[in-house]
Amino acid sequence: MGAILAPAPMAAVSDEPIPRLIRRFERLDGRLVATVTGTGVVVCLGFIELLRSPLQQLSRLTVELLAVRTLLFLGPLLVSLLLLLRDGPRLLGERRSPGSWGPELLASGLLSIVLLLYYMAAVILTASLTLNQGDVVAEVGFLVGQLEPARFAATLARAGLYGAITAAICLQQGRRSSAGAMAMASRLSRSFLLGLGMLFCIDLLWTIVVDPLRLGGS
Amino acid sequence: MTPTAAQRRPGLQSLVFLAGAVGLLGLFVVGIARSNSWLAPSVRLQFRTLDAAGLQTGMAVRISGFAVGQVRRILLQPDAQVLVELELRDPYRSMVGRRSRAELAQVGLLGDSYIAITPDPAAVGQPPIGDGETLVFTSRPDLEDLLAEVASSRIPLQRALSSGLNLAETRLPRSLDQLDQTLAATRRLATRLEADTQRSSSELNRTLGATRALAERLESRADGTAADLSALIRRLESTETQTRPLLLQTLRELTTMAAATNRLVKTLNESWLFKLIEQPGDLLRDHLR
Repeated sequence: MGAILAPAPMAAVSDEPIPRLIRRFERLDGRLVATVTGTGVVVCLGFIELLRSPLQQLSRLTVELLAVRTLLFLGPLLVSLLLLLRDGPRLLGERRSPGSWGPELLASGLLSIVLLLYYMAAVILTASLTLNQGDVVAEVGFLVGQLEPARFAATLARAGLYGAITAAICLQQGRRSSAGAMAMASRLSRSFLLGLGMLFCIDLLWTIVVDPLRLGGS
Repeated sequence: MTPTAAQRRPGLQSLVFLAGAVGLLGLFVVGIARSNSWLAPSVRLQFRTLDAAGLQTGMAVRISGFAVGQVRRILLQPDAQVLVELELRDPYRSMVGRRSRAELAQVGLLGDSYIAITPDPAAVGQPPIGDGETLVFTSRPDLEDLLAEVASSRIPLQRALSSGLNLAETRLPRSLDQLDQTLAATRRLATRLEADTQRSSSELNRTLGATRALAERLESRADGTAADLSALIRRLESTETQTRPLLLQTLRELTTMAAATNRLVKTLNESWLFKLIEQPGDLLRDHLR
């Protein structure tokens, strides 16, 4: 725990935007992708089980579409929180002025989008394999085809936005001057709670304001 | 492990995962594009309606229940009409003609709404419908109107049903009683008819037997009479053969005798004796003179 919470060494690294961006992308490794895809698989299986057993949804396509669409709605929130858990300690260790947060925010947004793509692939594959009736490729094609372009783009945009917001929260918390392991743990905890609350609020606003506006456009 | 090697390994891994993410994004985009027919050529059609209720951007366009396109835009025009733009996939363009109509339809009672285009058989072999052409929109009966009609027809229907029930309650038992009586009478009649028929059939059998015996007797007698008649005819023929020359001779003699008799009568007729008999006064007067 202490190793995770230890701030990254500051002296050996370059302060240029591009190296900072690359440094962030170097943290995209197998463990992070595996965590995200595993989360997608588990959440999808649980949701399908919920739809099939207590809710008695027997139509295969209904279950698949409900699972995929609902989990895609939750996707940005989940991957942003996972990214916050993974990169939070590193970001908390970087004490920068808000004017120089750009590369970190951009990198977090892009990483969040990348992780969302793996999460979506995991959800769609799991839904196809769980309720498959023979042709997995056609099933996957059908489910991908059911993604509405506007909703898909909005999901990617939300993932980027949420990633940037969590990164901003961590950077803002990192600017506090207290030092030591306890203070670091406290800042991480506060960042996580703040990020969770803020993302839930934004998701709620999105659900009750943006989606109805977009759907009501017709 | 050197620091350089330790720095390179995650970089390569990150690049692989980044490339995977780009590939996934490409797959998603291609899948969505294929599903929405972005890669296939299409034709834009439109129709106008007075009511946009039930219409939605992205809703399916179907011909004979088969998805052939979707609604692209719905616009409110300055004259308060609603302009609906459809996108029809190119392979199905030839099925739509000038006489095609668009209407708002629904899958089942609770299913999704869609735009149904009626195919135009006359369009086959004709030049395909052009881009941006306007179809005629026929609105289907509103569900609220249907419900109002059902509600308005409910009271007369209820009245008719209650009068029917009353009629059934009052008249039906009586009719059933009468029917029972009729059936009982019919049963009695049938029983009587059956007994009469049995009696008549036995008498008829006897009559038929007697008739048959009579017919047999008549047949035998007719056979005997026919034989007698044949024999008589044969005898008459032989007699006629034998008597013909005698008869001819007798006839000749009779003719000769008749001629002699005629001459005699004529002679006598011309004699005075007969005149005296007929007119005795005149003759005597002549003689006296």
